[in-house]
Amino acid sequence: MKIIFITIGFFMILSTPSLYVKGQGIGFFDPIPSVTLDTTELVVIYRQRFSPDSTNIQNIVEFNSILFLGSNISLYQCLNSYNREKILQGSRNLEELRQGAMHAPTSPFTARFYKNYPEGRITTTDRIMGDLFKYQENLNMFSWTIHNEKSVFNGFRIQKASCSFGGRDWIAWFSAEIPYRHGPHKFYGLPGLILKLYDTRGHFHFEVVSVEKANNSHTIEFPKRNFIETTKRDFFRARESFRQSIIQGTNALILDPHTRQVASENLRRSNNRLELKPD
Amino acid sequence: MIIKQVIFFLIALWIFQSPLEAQTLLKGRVMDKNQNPLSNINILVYPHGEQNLIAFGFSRGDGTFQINLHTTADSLRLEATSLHFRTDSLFVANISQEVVFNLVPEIKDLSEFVVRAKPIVQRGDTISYLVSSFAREQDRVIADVLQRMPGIEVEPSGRILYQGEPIQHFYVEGLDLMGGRYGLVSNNLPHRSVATVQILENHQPIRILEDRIPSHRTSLNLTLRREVTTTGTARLGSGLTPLLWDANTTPMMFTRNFQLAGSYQANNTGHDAAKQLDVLTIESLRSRMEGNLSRPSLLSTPLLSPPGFNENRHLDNNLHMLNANALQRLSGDFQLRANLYFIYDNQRQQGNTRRTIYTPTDTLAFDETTRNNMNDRALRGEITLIRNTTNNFLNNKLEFQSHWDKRNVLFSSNANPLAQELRNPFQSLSNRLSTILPVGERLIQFNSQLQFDHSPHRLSLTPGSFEGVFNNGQPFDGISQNIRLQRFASHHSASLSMGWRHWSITPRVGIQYMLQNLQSQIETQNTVPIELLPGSFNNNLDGNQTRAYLQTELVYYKRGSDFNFSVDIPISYVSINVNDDNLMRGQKINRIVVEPRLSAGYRIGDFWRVRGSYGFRHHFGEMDNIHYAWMLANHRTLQINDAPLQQGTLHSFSAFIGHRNPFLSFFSSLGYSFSVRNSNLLFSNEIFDNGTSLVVAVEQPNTSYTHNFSGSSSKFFPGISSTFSIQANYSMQNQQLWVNDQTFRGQNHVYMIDPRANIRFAEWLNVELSTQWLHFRTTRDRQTLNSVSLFKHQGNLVIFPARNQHIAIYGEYYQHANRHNYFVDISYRYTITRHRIDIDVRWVNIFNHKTFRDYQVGMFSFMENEYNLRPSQLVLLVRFSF
Repeated sequence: MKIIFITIGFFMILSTPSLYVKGQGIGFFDPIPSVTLDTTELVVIYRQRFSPDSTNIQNIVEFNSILFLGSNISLYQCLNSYNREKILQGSRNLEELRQGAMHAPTSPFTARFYKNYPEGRITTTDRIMGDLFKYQENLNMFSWTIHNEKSVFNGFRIQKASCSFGGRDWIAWFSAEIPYRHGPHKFYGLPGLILKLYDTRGHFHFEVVSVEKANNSHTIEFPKRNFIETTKRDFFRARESFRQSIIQGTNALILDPHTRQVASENLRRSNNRLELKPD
Repeated sequence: MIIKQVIFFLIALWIFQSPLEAQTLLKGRVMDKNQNPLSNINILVYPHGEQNLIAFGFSRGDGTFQINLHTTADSLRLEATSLHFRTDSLFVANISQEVVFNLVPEIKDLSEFVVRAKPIVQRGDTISYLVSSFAREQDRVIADVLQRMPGIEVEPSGRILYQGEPIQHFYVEGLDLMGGRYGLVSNNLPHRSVATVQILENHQPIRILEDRIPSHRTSLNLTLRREVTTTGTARLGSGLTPLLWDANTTPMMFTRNFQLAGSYQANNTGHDAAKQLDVLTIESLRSRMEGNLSRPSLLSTPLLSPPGFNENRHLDNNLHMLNANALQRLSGDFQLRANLYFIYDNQRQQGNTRRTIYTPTDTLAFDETTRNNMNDRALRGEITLIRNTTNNFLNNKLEFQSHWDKRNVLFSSNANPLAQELRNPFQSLSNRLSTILPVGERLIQFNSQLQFDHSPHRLSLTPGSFEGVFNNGQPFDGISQNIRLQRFASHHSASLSMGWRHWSITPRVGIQYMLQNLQSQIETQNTVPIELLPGSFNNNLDGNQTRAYLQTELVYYKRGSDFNFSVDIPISYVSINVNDDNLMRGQKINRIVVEPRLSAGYRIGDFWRVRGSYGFRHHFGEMDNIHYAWMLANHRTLQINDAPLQQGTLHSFSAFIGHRNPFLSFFSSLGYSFSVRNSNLLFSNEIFDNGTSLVVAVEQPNTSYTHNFSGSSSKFFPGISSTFSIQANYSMQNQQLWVNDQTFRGQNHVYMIDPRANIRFAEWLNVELSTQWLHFRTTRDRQTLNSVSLFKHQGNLVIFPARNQHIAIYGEYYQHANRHNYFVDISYRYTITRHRIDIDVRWVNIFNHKTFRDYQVGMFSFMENEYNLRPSQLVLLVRFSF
């Protein structure tokens, strides 16, 4: 009995409190220094669906991505990667940053597409194994064909258009009632917002789930970071050889051949890129 | 005639091609009312009276536009639209012409819409999937169906991923029965008993933190179809020479307020099934690692170091494992969970060792044989009380462990037999409490850890050794060392993080307290009883150790910066007290120590990185190491530590430079580390001709150094889908030694080169090759005592003849001097996908090699080990569920 009392005494004296403070503090870490490109006018969220495995298109990954529309420039990225950034910037100290990094959502894709930045170009930023890359393309690389088919989507009149891009044929449904020329991913150049987009093989599918006005202060920012400047071709090459070396690296770590087969096959199967080739 | 035809043809051409000929070129300008050009205005072209867009264009920087169109329409409607101007329409005839728009500013009020719940703010969202709509004919357990749901993946280990991230908790009816070991449930619960799978996105498992700390992790909940579910799976395997078995059965039961899952596994095929109790979530793994005292090992028997390859070839075992888990929902939002494990494990080892000891005057060689019989029984239990509501979080885990371990060793050295028996049971009781309570706007978290353990160990040798010490050089029947170690430990700590500009400051305060008692006696057995002086062979040591610390971590962190820097300056007060009441001896240390650590990193250009660090530490000996009377640590070592507690300092430096070029898939690095260790004690070894030694701690300051160089490089060749890499390492250890009344500096050098290749000849054929060259060199005062080289070649070949089959061949070849060892294993797996049955055939150690040799290098000793292996065996395994 005595032992129990001593033990309880120990709890009370030696247990020291640590505190959680409610509410949003001022971000302790400066946000990444950045250049303001444009003021956001409209925020569009797409439900994006794709089959990472071209040999089994039943296997579907589904997530949200976000399109910030300014009057001239737009930014498209995975919603999770946007949220992650917000969580990390809101952290007030290193511990919260670590916690945030651990709990923050992960992104099915890490690329960001800045359309019409610089003027007439698309800038893509992405990361491979901790390295940040940046490359540019021409904004007017899409040659759209307008079709006669029409439909209605959430009260907006939409019309069909098609183009070829990245080794796939695409069908887009756009609405001239929302006069922005942007769309998901790199897609650009129709006289209205793209509300639905899919490739003819059924591997990729985008559909708008919400369109909202931005709050007044939101801006599209381009981070000042140590990007490795490259070309699309070199970036694709680096990404593919990294993927291949990962497939082999996995092999070296796992002893059981069955596990190894599953692991490397899983990696090998996530082969279905939106852009199959760099041009 | 011909002319007529040509004219007719031309007329026909004109008639039929006329729509194409009607190509219209619309040019124009867009201006505001002050005649300033407007850019980026959409120009839309419709046939008059229709809603079908047929062409479009945009105004350029100077306000001009140009649209080509082909249409049969007589007249057209042109619209100029933009979000910032009122839409303007013009009706024109379908002929090439120039038009002008004058637009009036207007902010359009676009109607917003939301199709689904607004994703940005969704929190604690639940997505439900009906299991019946995903299940297929061949599915058996819920993991099969989970695999098919969008975003969910199940790894071979049983770990479940949602959108590529491991799930945080696995609930059945909102209850977390297994903690991190949910694989037992997901791989055995039949899908027919599950109604829905709920995916809890952004789930904060600690409810009091729900509105305070956002979580973006996902958890999974299964709702059941019936009130009560009972089920299970089984696996059976059998083999030849001698009789082999491998069995596994997993029954379970679920209700809404009470859940139970158990498993029984047994095998003698060299499969260490106890590893299956591995936890699958990061959180559980981390909480397990924090602060449990490790089992003491003051006494030991000779342990053969098993070869570093596949345990199937050498592990001679007989394992039975029983696991039971139960959870009961109580009133008042409390849950009580109990997890119980019982393991019976019998392992046998057999081997020969040639031990060479270099004394200053002599070289001694011994041929030893060892037959180990290790008998381990362990019972482990956890009882967890959980309360998780929006205003209170409480988690109290009471854990007990009981081990009844026994080792019997038949040992002989130069044909002199020595039977050894070690009984090393261990009992431990620990409690870990963590609770979070709201106090006004703030939350207070209490953490507490307490542990009590008891280790009565006994080592017996027959016949007795150290005759010179115990029986005036005369042989005697036996000797035993008894010890009884009892410990109490507690650890409490708290930390708070603060920030200032780019600096983060994390002060952490904590206190550790440990109290222990060590009793030891040496007993001799002889027909003529031997009188031993209790003062020389009995210890009764009381010790206590307190460490109170304030640790301040200072980190410079600027996102996107090339430079990072951190300093950690722990200040600790250390107090150690050791007393032997019987021997009236004791000592005390009270010190305040500062142990700074700093590190910095810099990135140069796109591909290079450099890093450096420096650290300074004080080290103090363990209380267990002090004993004023003799203790028999093993059959070869009788030791006394009648010296001050070991104290010393350690300086360590490291430098690293790395290069990685992802464009070329070329990665290289070079690293160097150096440390200087000062100690107040030197251990004098008096080695006798029979290989036994007396070890005495003597107060004599001394310094030792270690250097380590390492480099590696790898390159991937995309054209041939192959990776080639090389790794090299050199390390050197230099320390002062005292052997048979002589002191000298001993050095160990280890050189290693390891090239590897991984070649994919085809999608179905993968080959891995590696070679390792190892060279050891031992010197005494710069004279080489011993040097040895080892070669190891390894080759694996994996063939996938079909998707449900694979054949794997593993080969290894070892070479030292003129000795050769080679091993080949073959395995074949066939999966009957329809019925989820796996058939595995394994032929291990095809060439039936009975032994394996390897080497161990010490500062003044060298050991050549020969380990007995399992004979060649063929095992057939079948896995299914019921």
